[in-house]
Amino acid sequence: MSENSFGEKMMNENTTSENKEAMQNKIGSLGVKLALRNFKKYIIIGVIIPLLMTIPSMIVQGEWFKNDKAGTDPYVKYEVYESVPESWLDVCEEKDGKYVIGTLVDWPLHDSMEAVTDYGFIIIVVCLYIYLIRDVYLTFWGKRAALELAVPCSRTVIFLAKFIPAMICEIWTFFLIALSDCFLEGGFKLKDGAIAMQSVRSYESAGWGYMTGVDFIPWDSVCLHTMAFLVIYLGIVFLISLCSNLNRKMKDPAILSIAGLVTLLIAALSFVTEVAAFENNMLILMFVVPVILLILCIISIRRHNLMKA
Amino acid sequence: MSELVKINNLTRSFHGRKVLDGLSLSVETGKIVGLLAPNGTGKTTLFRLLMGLLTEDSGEIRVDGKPIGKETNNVISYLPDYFVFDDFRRIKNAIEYMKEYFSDFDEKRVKELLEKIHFDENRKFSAMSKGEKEQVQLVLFLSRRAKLYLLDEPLAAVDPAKREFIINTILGSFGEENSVIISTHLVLDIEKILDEVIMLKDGKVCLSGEADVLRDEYGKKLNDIFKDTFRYEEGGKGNE
Repeated sequence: MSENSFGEKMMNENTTSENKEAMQNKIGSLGVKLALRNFKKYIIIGVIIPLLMTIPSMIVQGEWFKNDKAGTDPYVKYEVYESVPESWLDVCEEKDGKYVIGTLVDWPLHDSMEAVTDYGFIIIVVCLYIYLIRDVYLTFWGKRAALELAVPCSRTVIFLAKFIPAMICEIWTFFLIALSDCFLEGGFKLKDGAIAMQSVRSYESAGWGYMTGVDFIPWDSVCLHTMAFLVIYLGIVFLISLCSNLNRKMKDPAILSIAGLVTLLIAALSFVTEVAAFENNMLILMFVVPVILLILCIISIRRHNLMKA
Repeated sequence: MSELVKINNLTRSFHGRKVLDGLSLSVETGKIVGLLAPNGTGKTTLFRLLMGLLTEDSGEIRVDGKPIGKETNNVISYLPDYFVFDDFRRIKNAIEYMKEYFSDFDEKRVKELLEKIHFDENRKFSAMSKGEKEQVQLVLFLSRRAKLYLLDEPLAAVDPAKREFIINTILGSFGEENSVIISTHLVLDIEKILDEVIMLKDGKVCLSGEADVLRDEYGKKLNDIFKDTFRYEEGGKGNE
């Protein structure tokens, strides 16, 4: 009898640990499911529309490729390249003892393509910021909280399942903005048939001269925009989370004062680390504040509270 | 019968005012419990604490023997007092969502219930009235095979003719293995199905017990007991 009950107990314990493991696996897969669901939700505004917005710069780039047709295309001309090329990326050609370069001159659509790209991306980035922040707000503090937070997952997993797809979409958009800038400002060309050899040059040969390309993507700009997004996104999540915890004891004016001070502190820290990153040429420094904010968000979201009782 | 919900000395403040003040109660499995109180007395706060949407200042909450967290989310189906789905979605999208994230969701049951109330799965929420949306939402949340159903004002937005359907749906979801806590101030409509009653006042339980016992003790309907209990408060006097 006692053996039976011991056996039963062991079986129950095994079943319980199996159940626990099964549940943990399920929760893990639920986290992935949630992240994929969020990514699908963001894909139009965060992936497809920014990609479409690169079309004007692609058209400009197409014109640039016509530089090989100098003499036949009215907008592509060879101009004498003043300095002797040193960079392995340089695509100047030697003709009659002089270095010459193909240049896009007075192409009538150039300005309008640039304007469409610039304004288009500004609108996309603003919409993306509003959409992503609204989405995380509705899930944790808005009307969808009762539904989305009822999912048997920890708050951390639910938050990361929102944050990671949002970050991917933002980085993708900023990368495309930087790429479009390159495409608008200069052209790529293969040198000696090697695919890796590309050059970025200014179309405007007068004024500031040719930009002999080195970093064809301005990664510092991508990093800066990403840092700004992370600080704003995580900063807002942290501030709302903080306010929702403070409203137990404090009245609104006191909460707003604290939120204001915290905002100033975040802005000051972000500025200092950004300057330090550029001065020391260490882009990684830019991400100190976002990492701190991410940790604070994860901690505060674990003790999550709605704004209203 | 085992204890499904156990709350001990629970306190929760908002802007310095104690919404719940040392609240203690317990709910056993196999009961339909009415959480009866006027507006603004902490019914929704209590449900949100049970769902982990709010954290307590002090005290202890256990559901199915566990502290509030992802494990308790697995056994609770919470119907809030407002519509949670996006208006541009269709009923079938909501069904897909519930099926995907809640393993205890019974798709067959939801389809049966929707058929009963003549709702096409392709209907958009934006094309429905407030009462219709609430009805669909109730059907969706009651189609989970949960251990504990928390229903926050399920009758508030529904016309009297549809209340019968809602009450029958609640009864249909209820069994020996689970419990239902219904928060409402529309006591008259719901009192016939209640096994137990908990009345809240000043963030505490002011009256609780089995419905039949209370009716016998006071010689009145629960609705009249409710009115008597809270009418005095309006005049600023005590109960005695």
